[in-house]
Amino acid sequence: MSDALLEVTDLCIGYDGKSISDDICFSIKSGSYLCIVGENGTGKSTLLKTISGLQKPVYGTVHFNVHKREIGYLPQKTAVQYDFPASAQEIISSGALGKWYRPLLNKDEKKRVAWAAEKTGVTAFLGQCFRELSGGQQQRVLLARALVTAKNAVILDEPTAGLDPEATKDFYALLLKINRDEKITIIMVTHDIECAEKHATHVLELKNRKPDEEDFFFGTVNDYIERGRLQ
Amino acid sequence: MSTVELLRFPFTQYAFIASILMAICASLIGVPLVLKRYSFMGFGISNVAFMGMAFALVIDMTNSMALVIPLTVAATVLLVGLGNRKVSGDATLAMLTVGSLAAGHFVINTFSIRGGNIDRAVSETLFGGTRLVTLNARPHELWLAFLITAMVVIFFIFFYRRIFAVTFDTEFMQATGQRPVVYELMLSVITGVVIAVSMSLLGSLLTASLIIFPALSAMRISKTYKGVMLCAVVVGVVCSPVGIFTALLFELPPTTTIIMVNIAAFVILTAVGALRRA
Repeated sequence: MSDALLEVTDLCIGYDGKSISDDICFSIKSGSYLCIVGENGTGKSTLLKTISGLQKPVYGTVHFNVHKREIGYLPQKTAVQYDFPASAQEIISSGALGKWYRPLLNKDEKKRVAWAAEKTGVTAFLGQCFRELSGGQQQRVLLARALVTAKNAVILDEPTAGLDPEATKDFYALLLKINRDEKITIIMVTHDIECAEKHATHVLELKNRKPDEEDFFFGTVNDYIERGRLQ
Repeated sequence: MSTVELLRFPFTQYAFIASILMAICASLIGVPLVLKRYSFMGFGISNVAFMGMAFALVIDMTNSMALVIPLTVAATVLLVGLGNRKVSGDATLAMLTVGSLAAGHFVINTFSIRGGNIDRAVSETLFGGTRLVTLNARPHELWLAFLITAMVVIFFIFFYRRIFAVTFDTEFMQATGQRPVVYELMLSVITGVVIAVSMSLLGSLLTASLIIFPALSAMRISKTYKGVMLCAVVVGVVCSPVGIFTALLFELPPTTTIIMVNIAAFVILTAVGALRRA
């Protein structure tokens, strides 16, 4: 177990002490690509928020074997961000956490920002205003910000929501490349079963609760596909 | 008396200095406030400050700031906290705005033991003086204004990156193991202090205007966060003396003239922004 990047043990998620899941148990190794799938209302986003520490579990534990500061996060976009006056450069730079009293980035941080921008292909519009970029470009900028922080893993909450099919395909291809080339673990909530089956190494499926039936499935992507065929 | 002669009087100079200093503070805190959809908070908290002043007057406190600052800071922290938890922060703000204005007016009219013209005192705390002589700035209050301005500017320089992060995306901060609450709290405390001091110097209406107009004007033309910050300060710092000078020239009420100049700047910069995009 010790070589796991993320270990989730007997985790029950929910709001205000009310549980919405059974005990969820799983662990993934560094370099994995985990897709969290399931119908609406099964608690995918709640699970992701609990994993990233935005929400307290009802009980159970989430344990990362690396520091939280080495994990990037790409949240669902909020209303504030749609018309936010900031350049792509400024947003990506905000992924460099640094010391609070330094108003400017240091050399290493600048290098990291340039690296993340290059990996995500946003170097060409670094100076542009975030609100004037297309949806796909905005998501790539936010991914770049997550990469500036992430040395190990990136957590994404439905990153392709609202993107057109072409941009969605590009974004998934980019994620796969970052996972394979940079060995960065991906943990992503998605509606897209096809993407999960093609790209993921592991799948976690949440289901609506029924008595006498476990309400989640966790396994490798091959198990997941095999199980789908049987049903 | 000519305008040039008026400029030589200390009270005229105090008015210029006070309005410029407060414009710097208010336009800086205005940017994150407006971006986080707390635009109306400046006005609400100013009214809380008015209530504090009214209470201080009634109990005959010599230093009203000792009551007003804790009140405004508490109100700001409360409102920002509610906004985060998505409990109806909107309704709370509305109640606080209307309620404190009414409570202030009520106590001052019911319990005031001081002689003198109450209506004028109320009008001056809300709208500032109708003439420059009655702008509330006095030397010892100016020192306080200097101190607060230095504090705000230093805070915004050193915490620049955290202020950006907390304005743009608190979830990201939290998920990466930072504590956005700490920075939100610091911003709230500073906002409360600035509003209290600015309100005592310039009246509550001008205070609220200095928070929203420079920030909104800057957002019309600037595409970067740093640009918005700098531009807001420039707009605030230019509009205040222009407003006072215009008021002196044509014998207009100074505080509302400054607001009119701010509105004009907003209209002009909106046009400039639209032309640029076209």
